[in-house]
Amino acid sequence: MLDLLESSERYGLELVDASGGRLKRGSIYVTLGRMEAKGFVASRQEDRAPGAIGLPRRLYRPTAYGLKVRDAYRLLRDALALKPAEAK
Amino acid sequence: MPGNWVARVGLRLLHRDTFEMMLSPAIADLQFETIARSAARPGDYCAVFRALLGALWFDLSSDLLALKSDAETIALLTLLQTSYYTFMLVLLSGLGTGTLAAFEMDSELVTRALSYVAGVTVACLLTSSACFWPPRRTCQTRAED
Repeated sequence: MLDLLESSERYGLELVDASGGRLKRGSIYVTLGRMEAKGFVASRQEDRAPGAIGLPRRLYRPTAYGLKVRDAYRLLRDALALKPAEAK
Repeated sequence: MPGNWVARVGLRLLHRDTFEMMLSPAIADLQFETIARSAARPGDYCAVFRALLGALWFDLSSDLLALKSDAETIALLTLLQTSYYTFMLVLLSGLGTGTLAAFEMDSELVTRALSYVAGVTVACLLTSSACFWPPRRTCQTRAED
């Protein structure tokens, strides 16, 4: 999710579409909410035209902390991954 | 507008932050798609309901964690209430009027007495927890119609 957000601000639905089916629409908002509570992403309401109807949509972007956590997770994953020689 | 009634339900049940972070974006996307396609699909509503359920679970778990800090006070209140009501039950049952010797203390009686005490304890625990439960919004915010 942080990878998808790194390039630009996105809506929840855009993330679902960009993930190619890996993210589900039913769980994306709760996951984003939890990530925001933990400080991994930040969000803002979209700028609305006067007279627009409906609730304002929310745009998400990664925080510096979130990107740091992602990089640390990648390092950990790579360090723990079994190399072919070690897998025996 | 589709989803407004879900928003009203969410506003009543959820913390404001949880509503803003988890449910409101789901409803906003539903409304955006409905305007774009001029009709909402059942799957779109399904996503909103799942967001509502997830947000409710998030709030419930957060509330239970918040109650941990008051655990000692809740335990003390529960103990006081349980003692009081158990004493009343003992009085009402006649055990406190000197007729204890007339009772045959078999396992069935003990089991029944313990189940009464357990019921009283649970009821007291619920009322004590309710006193310390984090506050919800009490007034309904008007959702856009």
